[in-house]
Parts: sequence; structure tokens; C-alpha cells
Amino acid sequence: MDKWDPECRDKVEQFKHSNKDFLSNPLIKEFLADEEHYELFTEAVCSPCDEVQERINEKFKEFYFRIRFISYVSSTLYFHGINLDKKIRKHDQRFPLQLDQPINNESETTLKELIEYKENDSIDSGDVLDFISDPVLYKAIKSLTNNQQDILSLAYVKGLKDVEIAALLKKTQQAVSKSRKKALNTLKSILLKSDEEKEL
Amino acid sequence: MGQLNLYELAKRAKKEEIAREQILELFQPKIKKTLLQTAPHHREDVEQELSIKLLNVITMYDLDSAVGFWEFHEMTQKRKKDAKRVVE
Repeated sequence: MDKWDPECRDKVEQFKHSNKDFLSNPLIKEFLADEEHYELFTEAVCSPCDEVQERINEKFKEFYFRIRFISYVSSTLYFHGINLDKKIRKHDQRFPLQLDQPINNESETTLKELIEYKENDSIDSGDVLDFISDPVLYKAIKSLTNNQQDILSLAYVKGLKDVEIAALLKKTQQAVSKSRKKALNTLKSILLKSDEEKEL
Repeated sequence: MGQLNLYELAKRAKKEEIAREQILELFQPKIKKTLLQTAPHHREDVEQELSIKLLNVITMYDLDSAVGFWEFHEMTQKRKKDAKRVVE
């Protein structure tokens, strides 16, 4: 530090003396530990020239920014990582890929035991034709009159009594009973005929 | 100093994609370290998320929040005074 004249050195000493707190700040300590920075600092204390002040300001900004930015990014990444992890774990817990694992630590029931079994093979229809799988019978019912088909549907799909069907269709119970029996007889004769044809 | 001037780089990163990539590259070790806590099959997802977060930080970070040497000097002096006043 011989290149500094004694007057300058005095100034620096004076500054150091009156700014003990400032110089013991860990950031400033670290900043001045760099030789280039320290030279700049001495220069800045000695000469109040604007250009030098600006330079030390700029250097310190870079130094300070570096520290702040790195620590900010590091903690942001760290906490964001933890949060993401928590989210994933929560999601995994709520939508597990394994069904035979105990729901929680105490119970022995597993998820697969809690799954509801839904019987889904009932046909949601009121038409008798939708329940027929035999093509011969299907054709036979198709050949009946619309009225007879309706009555068959109500009687055998919905399970209504003749009286109820009569009330629904605004007919007498006797008429309903007669058409139903006639329909059944027609079906019987058609089926018997087709059986005979098969035998031949 | 031999080390990269992060301040300049961050300034450029506000506009230039290359600078952004460089910062992303610089923080790769940190991201990789953070990934160690995640389950291996989720790591790639989390890595993406973290990179997005870092890019957000780069664009959102206020560069003017870094103060100059004498401003910092003033700040510490003021803080000292304030502390004294509180004591009194």
C-alpha cells in the first residue's frame, strides 16, 4: 500500500475509525477482502471524485447482487422443491395405484374392499323387444299388433296386472286379458311351427 | 475476479434468451441437489417445474434492489441511528 501518500492513509484510518460498525458488517468485510475492491475503497475515501465513487458503487452493486440473487434463488428452489414434493405425495395418496394396500396404518381394510359392486346388466327399457335374444321369438313378437306388443311389454317387463294395464290404456280389463292371451297363443303357434320346420 | 459477472448476466437475461440459458445452467447443480428429495420417477417433472420457477425469478427479480457502496453505507448509518432512537 506504499503507493498511497500519507495524507490519504490518514484519511482511510480516520474513516475506519469513525465507521467501525460499518466496516465490521460481514458484507462489507467480505467485499473489502478482495484486493481490487480494497484499492477502490481507499481511492474512494481519499478522492471525492465522482467517477471513482461511481465505480465503487457499481462494483458493490455487482457484489451485493450476486450474493442476494444466489441466496434468493437457492431458497426459492429449495422451498418450491419441497412444495412440489408435498403436492405429488398428496396426489399419490389420494389416487393410489395400488388397491390392496391398507388405507391407513391402523386398519387392515384395503381399498379394493371398499369398491362398490354395481350390477349393471339390467336393461333400462320398457319394451319387451329389448329383452328378446332369440331371433325366432323376436320375429314372432314383431308380427303381433302394436296393441298386443304394448300389452306384453306392460305385463311381462313392468309386471303390471291386467287391471292396471286396462287403466293405463283406457280399455276394459276383459279386453286386455283377451288380447294378452291371444298374443301368447299366437306366439305359441308361431314357435311350434318353427320347431316343426326345424324337425323336418 | 475470474468469476462470472452475475449482475450483468441477470441484466441481459431480462431480454436475451442466451443469458437466461446461462443462468439456468449456472443453477443446475442446485436444481439437481433439490431433486434428491423427490422420488426418482417424479424427478423429471419436478426438474421442469423448478426450471420454470427459476425463469420466473429471473424475469421478475428487481435488479434495482441492489444498492451501491455508499448507499449501503448510508443504510447502515441510518439503521444505527434508528436503533439508538429506539433504545432512548
